[in-house]
Amino acid sequence: MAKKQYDLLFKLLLIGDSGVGKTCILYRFSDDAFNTTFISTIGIDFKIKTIELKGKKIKLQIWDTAGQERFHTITTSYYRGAMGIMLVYDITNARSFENIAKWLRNIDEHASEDVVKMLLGNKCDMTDRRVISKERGEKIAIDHQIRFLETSAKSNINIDKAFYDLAEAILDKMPSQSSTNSMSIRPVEQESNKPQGGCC
Amino acid sequence: MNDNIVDKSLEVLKDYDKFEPIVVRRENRLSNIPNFYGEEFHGVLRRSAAEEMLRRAGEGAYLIRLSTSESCILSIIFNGKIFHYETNFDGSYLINGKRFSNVSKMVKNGFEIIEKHEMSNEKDNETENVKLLKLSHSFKSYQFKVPKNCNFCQNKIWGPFQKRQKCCNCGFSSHQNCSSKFAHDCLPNLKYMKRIFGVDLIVLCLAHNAEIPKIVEKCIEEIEKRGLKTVGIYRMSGSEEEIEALKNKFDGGSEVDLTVIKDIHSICSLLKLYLRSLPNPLIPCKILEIIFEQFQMDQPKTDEQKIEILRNELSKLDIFRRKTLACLFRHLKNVVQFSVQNRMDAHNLAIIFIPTLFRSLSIMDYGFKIKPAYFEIIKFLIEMPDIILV
Repeated sequence: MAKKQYDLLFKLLLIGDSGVGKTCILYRFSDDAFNTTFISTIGIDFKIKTIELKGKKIKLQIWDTAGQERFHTITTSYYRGAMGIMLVYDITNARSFENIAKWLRNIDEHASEDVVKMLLGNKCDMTDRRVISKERGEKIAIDHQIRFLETSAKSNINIDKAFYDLAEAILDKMPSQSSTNSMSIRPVEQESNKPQGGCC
Repeated sequence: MNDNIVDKSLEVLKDYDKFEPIVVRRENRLSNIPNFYGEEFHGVLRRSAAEEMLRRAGEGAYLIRLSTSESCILSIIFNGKIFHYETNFDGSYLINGKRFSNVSKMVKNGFEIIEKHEMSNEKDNETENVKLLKLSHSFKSYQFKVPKNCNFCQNKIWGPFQKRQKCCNCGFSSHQNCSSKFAHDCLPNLKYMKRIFGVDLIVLCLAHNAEIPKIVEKCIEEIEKRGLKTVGIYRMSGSEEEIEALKNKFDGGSEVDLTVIKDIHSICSLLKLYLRSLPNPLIPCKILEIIFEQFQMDQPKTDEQKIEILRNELSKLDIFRRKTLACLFRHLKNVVQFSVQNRMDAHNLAIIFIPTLFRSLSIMDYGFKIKPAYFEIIKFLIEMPDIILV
């Protein structure tokens, strides 16, 4: 088939403390499955899913990282190419919420500046064990001006919405596309029309 | 002369009087002998030759010689071991900053130092290993605020053009030129060490006079006490802030009470951080590679053969690494025994401890999967630490 199967390719990255459910979120989204095994991710892994948004076929390449500290040197090298980052914490685990600051610092350090961020409070089905209220999550999201959702990979709450929202935000941020052929590189006519000036 | 000042140290020496120093007399005639040395002075003499002469003369023998670098050295044999000290003369006999009125007293003091040294080491019967390690000094340029005597040539380290060096593990300080002449005889002292994380395991153990780094011992003790049944033990991340604070406390050398740390995951993370920050991994890359190659070699190996390989290779490690590994894996074995409660089986622990213990990137194949051989190594270690790490 000569025709491309998608119009746009978005690279997304899942980060967060160990055991908050990054892999589970990804599996729910890509395979609509939930697995109760308790196994750490090794290094980095990825899944692909194509979605349709605003009449465009968007291929999401989602990178799932290991939360283990030791893998950080590997995982941080994937930050740069990411267009969207999902930062996950566990609402039943106060520590994972406190460490958000560290993860945000990591993003600032390693990711490109215009990356779209999103905060996810996972495991929101476990109401009886909740220690981080939704308000606290919302507040920190507002403070850092990032999107926020509470999710549950187990009960399939907000998982699809999270990925669609993030993809939409990236799409909105892109320079306006007049054609579906946006992936190809075109000479930038607009910029040459700009008034001359600035430093160098 | 100034005997009354000098001989204060004699009170301590009393017990050593029964060891009368034996002079190893020089055989051939020598010109230009310093007038303050007698027949014990041998002129330029190599260390190996001196040791041979001392052994022939027997217990309590001593001689004074010039090393190839022209520094004056007192060599003694005591308790069957030979020691070499830098010595100097400036009106009285100098050794390690102490003054003596004659050579015989200086030698007796040497006996005393050796005796003390032996006693402190006899606490554990692994002294031989400690001696064999021959740690070299890790010198760093250092700005002395007050003039200080060089521990090697006894002259002052002084003046704007003098380069000064200080060993950051044992505090030995010397001229830059002298520092290259030192033997590998560093005895680390906690007083001079500014941190714990990132310090070589052997150096730290020697400084603590322990077989296992204190921090490892403490963390494991605490986790055994209250973490064995915690879900996701070792997997969950600890609080970044708390880990940082704990690390600073340990580095600062203060006594750390881990029982007040509520979050057991922070303690696990601290232990993992310590192991990761070792400049030489617990199982050095070289040995790991050898094990890996032997696992792959020729026809498939049975479990027994693999265990034998592990046992063989790991027995080459120094005593501190072996003890620390044994302590760690006995603990992990305990963790696995509670895997129904904590959900951490051997495989799951291996994912976490492989990158913590084995630093080289060769553990991963393309696509970031850990090679199966490394899983096997960790699994064998967890299953039978007492058999492999004898």
